[in-house]
Amino acid sequence: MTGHIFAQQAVNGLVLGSVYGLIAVGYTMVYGIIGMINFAHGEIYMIAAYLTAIFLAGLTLLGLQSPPLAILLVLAATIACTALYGWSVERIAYRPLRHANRLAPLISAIGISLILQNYVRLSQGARTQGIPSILDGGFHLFASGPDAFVRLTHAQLLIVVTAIISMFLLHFFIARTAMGRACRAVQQDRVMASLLGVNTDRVIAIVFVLGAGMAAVAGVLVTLNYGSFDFFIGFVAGIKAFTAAVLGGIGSLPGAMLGGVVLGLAESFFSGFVNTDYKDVFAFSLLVLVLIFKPSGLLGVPEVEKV
Amino acid sequence: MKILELERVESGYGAVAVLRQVSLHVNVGEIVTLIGANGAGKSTLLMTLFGQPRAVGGRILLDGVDITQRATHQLAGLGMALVPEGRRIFPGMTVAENLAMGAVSVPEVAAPEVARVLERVLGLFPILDERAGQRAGTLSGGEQQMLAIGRAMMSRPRVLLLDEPSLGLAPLVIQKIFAVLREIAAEGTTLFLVEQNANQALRLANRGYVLVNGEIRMEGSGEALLADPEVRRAYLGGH
Ligand SMILES: Nc1ncnc2c1ncn2[C@@H]1O[C@H](COP(=O)(O)OP(=O)(O)OP(=O)(O)O)[C@@H](O)[C@H]1O
Ligand SMILES: [Mg+2]
Repeated sequence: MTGHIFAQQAVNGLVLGSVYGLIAVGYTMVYGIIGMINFAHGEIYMIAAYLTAIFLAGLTLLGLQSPPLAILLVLAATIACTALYGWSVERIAYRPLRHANRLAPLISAIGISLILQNYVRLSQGARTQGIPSILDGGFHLFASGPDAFVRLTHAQLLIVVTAIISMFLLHFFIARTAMGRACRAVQQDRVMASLLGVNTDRVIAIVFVLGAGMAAVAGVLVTLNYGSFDFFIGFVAGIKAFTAAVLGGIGSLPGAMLGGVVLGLAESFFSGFVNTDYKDVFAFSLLVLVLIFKPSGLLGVPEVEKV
Repeated sequence: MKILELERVESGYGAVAVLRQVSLHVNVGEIVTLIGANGAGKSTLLMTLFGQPRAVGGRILLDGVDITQRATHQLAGLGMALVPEGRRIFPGMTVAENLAMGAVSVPEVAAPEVARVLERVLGLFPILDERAGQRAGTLSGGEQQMLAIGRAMMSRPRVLLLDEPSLGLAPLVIQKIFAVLREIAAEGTTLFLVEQNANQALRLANRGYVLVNGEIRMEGSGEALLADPEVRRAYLGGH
């Protein structure tokens, strides 16, 4: 019985961690390349949730029946729109401040975050909204009795699998393509990269777009799973993902993924075995502990693949 | 024919003026050296050519075209390449990736050409071939300098700018690097060489300039500067 609860919390934690990881890579990549925390990143996730609902409604109106196709189309459309948001945020709020005092872009980020929240609140309403579930059902794993099983829903499976695929694609892009190499060059020595002919503004824009795209994947998946959202969900998700990024070692791509999974598992086990109300306190305590013993985070060594 | 020309260039960092009315030129196929004491502004001069920092006065001409206000990332494509002070290789990348970064300014259509240049670079510095898959940050100082030179060669620059390539290297490695520079120059690449190692540099160069406190104080042929008593006293240890 305890074995089943344990496994169940592990499954839940892995799902949660995949979501944190997807959002965390956006923080870590932007930090890696311009040394700045993009506080508006959580809002990109929130906007992806709204876009999911809008595109899903649109597809339903058009009479689309097949859930897999609908999910694929919603994912593609949401990533595209959200990437545009990511690009615009960088262009409007950060690029003009590239050579300004370090605090200026931080303030600008908070400003953009408030603007996006209130823009969504005014245009979509402050109520919690929902979408009908299009992904029902799931599996009962390790079933050994009527109450003794581990439940893995289709939505949860989709989250984990999509997260793994997205992370793999991102890793491939950064590690193997010429553009990814340029991203790493800008991260390691921006001036030198530009001396060699890299258009650093373009590379930085691409990093924002990639981060936004990954957050969009998270936004779509979570919305399909939980079905409800409001204009404020970006705040908590953003803080958690930022925690995951710092936990894993900010600036490190594998660190963000690992940090997400560790945080997700920790939260899940804590709420499963100790107390649900204090799970956030536990998550942040974990962060503090890791930072005390390893200030650069779990994988925060300068050598690891960063961007 | 002048490939590179500075006309009364002024540059510095914010309120700190470093270069004052610097005028000099480099002819096609020449080896020109710039010597000067620590803090004279030699590195600032090289970086100003690339707009980092941007010149606040005067003009910089490449092939007679004013490039003073060009974006930094466009200049590599115009035929200039820099081996910067401190090498500035990308430490987290492999040697091969560093070399590939040297060719980012080369258009896609010239890919076969890039492969040929790479072969040439690896021929000049066989150690880079041996270490192709190694992280560049783990190379020795001399190997890193070779990598920085190789990387700069990857864009097939018409004028190669070098900022103290011999700094901190053993005499044998310095010999090797100067031999390669001679070879590159013999193939027709124009060299502009900043050096503390004035003896070596002036022997290699056709012409030289002496920079003092951000101003060009002297200019002349390599031999003339080598023979100049003031230059000997200030930069050649007084012998
Ligand atoms: N990034 C910077 N910000 C402010 N001042 C700078 C900066 N870089 C250089 N300086 C100043 O500009 C002056 C010229 O420096 P520069 O590095 O060009 O000298 P240099 O001739 O290359 O010296 P060295 O032989 O030691 O390399 C120095 O007084 C230095 O303190
Ligand atoms: Mg210098």
